[in-house]
Amino acid sequence: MSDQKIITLFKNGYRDKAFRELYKLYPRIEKLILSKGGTKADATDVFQEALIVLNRNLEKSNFTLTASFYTYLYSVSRFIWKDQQKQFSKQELHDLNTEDVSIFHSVLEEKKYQLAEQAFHELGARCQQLLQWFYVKKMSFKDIAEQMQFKSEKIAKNQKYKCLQKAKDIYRSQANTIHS
Amino acid sequence: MENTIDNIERINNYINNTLTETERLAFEKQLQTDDTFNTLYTEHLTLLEGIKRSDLRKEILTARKQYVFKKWIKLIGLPILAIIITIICYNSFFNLKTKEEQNTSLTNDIITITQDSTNYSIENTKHIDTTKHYTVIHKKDTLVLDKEKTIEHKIDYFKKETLTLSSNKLTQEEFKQQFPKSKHLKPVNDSIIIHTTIDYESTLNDHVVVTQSKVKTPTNNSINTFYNTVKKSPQIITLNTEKDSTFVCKEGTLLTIKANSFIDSKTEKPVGGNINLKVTEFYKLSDMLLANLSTKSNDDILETAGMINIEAKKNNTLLKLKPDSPISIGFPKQKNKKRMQLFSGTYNNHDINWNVTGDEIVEDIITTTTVESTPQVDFRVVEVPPLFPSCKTGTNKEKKNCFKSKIEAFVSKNYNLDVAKGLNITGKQKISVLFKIDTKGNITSLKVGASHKKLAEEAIRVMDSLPQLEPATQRGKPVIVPFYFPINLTFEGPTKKINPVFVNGRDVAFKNHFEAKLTNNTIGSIKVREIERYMFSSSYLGWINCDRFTNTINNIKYKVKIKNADGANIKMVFKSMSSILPSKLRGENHDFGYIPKGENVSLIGIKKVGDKIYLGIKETETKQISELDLEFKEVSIEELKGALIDLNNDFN
Repeated sequence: MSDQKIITLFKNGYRDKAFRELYKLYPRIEKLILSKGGTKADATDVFQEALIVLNRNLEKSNFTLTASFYTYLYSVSRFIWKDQQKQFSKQELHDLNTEDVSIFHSVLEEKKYQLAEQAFHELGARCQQLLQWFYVKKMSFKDIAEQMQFKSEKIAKNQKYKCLQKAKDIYRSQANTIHS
Repeated sequence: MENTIDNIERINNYINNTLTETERLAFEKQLQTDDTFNTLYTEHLTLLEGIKRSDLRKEILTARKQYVFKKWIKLIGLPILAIIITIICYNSFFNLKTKEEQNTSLTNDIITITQDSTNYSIENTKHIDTTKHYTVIHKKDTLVLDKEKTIEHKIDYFKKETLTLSSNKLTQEEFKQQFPKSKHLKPVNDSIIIHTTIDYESTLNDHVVVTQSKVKTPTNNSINTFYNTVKKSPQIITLNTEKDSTFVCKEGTLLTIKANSFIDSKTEKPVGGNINLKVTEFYKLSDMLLANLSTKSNDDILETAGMINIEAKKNNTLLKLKPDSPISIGFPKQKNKKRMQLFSGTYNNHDINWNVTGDEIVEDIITTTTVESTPQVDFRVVEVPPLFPSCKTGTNKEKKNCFKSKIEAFVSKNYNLDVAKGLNITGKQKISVLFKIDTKGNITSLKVGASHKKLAEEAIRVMDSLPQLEPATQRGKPVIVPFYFPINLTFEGPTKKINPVFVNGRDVAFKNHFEAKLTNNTIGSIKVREIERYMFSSSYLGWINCDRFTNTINNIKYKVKIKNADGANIKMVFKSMSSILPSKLRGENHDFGYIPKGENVSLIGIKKVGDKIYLGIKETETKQISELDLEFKEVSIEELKGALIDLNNDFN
């Protein structure tokens, strides 16, 4: 399938199909990670992360894919792996071209969201469910209250706030430990 | 806190683009000026992305699973496909090759034939090369029945025909070794022709035998169509070839067929799914006679314990058994006869001939009627409860309640308290009634507990008079349901604690079975059949016979002239053994071959003239005679069947 077709899949909301197509590129990325000393499990993680970065960028209105999906995913994966291994020398960072810089930026930005995700996963199952229903599925408080058997919408709303606040607290403390 | 909740709601609305224009501008302004609000906003966004990531990750994971699955399919599926294709290619190539071989062998034949016709006259020629291979053709003069003349003169006429017995490529030396008598023959061109003339007189009789069986006289044709109309119709069994199946046919034949035993008779490919099995059983003399069956293996007389014909078809394609998957056949025993063997029959226009299949008798096993294990479901949980005749409407719960109350009402109404008189029963009495409702709606395993045997027996009497129930069903299938209820009786006097006595009721199912057996016994010998069978495994379908060779002594050639028997099919049935002998018409005589002397036999002749059927039965003793009078009476098909069925009793 051509890259253009995959992009249309993304745009029309067939993200699952698009991901399935992109997974065909995985063996080559796996080779890259293996050649850099990673394991197969590392390769799976890196590729997954690369797909997330790609998806995030595709969602941005100002993003255009300048190279093929393969080249893009290859660069992103390479950056993710290098960043994970902390292998960047100052010289390397200095020599990056604008294209690479934007990719590197995306990768670094993604780390922030990774932390947020970790914080989210530390919440209780009920909190996770509530937040996901509200923010991802865009369910109304009324429906959520019904589904989760809250007595009223207001309680659902309050509960959501508490969950969010808790996630933020966890996120902040994590961010602090990393920075310090 | 109220403030932050408000702020978060504003942020949400901003992201969802539900703010009014002024609100939106105010929001954006605050983002630029208010630092804490700004951090709150970015933090919120980050967190939202985090939540979304978790969702996205799940999606990617499923994509990965599908990808891995596809990869495996390719890894496993493609080699399998490749193997299948190779096998198909190999097979078709192989077939082609054998066909080619056939073709070449065919052309060889043609060559020799042409050579033979061109070189019919013998000439002496040239020198003889000892290393050269010559085509040696061995010819023999034989007699072949002249059909036209035979019909015309009603006496067998034969014409001379020359048959080629063999044709080989041999050197002069080899030729002399193999055919020492024909040494004097000299090769003509490239071939040597040996022409043997045979002594007609001595061989004449042999040829009568060979050829006559092939002749169909017009009268025989009409009798054949008659047999086709009266032949027993088969029992059709549909079975799934992918499973092991066992079934008992109408007259007791037990068939056990392993899964995947059938292949297409032409392509030899395995056959799956449902197939139809046509089974015709011949245990009765009348059935055998009406199917024109007899019990001869070449010239030997057999005694039969039953014959069956099995035909397997899937969508009109004839099937056969895989060579290594024989089916097991159990012939019900009427009398225990030893040395039974399995024969397979070839049925031509005339008579059936049985040959030993070589399949050994497996064992004389005793099969008891197997009670299928049906699941038992508790009354409280069963989907549809057993139904009392007047409880067929309403929900299942209503049906359950109705069942309980009706049973209890029936028992208390019909329970005769008089049985308690004079038994000195006092106080409260509890009678426990336990039973099961089987899959046919019968009461089984009835057990009644009471302080006194008489009380229990009366409950059993009442239970026996219950109307027929309908079985309970679970997921549409009938199931066994156990049921319990108490009968509470109060008598005058103090209540004493007495250990209950339990009395078992007689199972209705057992009773029915027993009664059925009794009634059947008056007609045949089902009882014996039911328990014992001759077990064989057979790799053939078609005509199968469970027979043994008879040890007959004092044999005589029985060849009689029977009056009015032109065109009749005459069979001999023995009184002392289950044997049916066919006869062959030799000129004016009916020839039964060699048979034991002094036996009581019945000669049964059936003939058809026009649309009328004639039956002649004569009881006689076997001795050397030359003429016999067989009286033929006109009968309807029904009368014929009746007359033959009357003979069944002597045949066992």
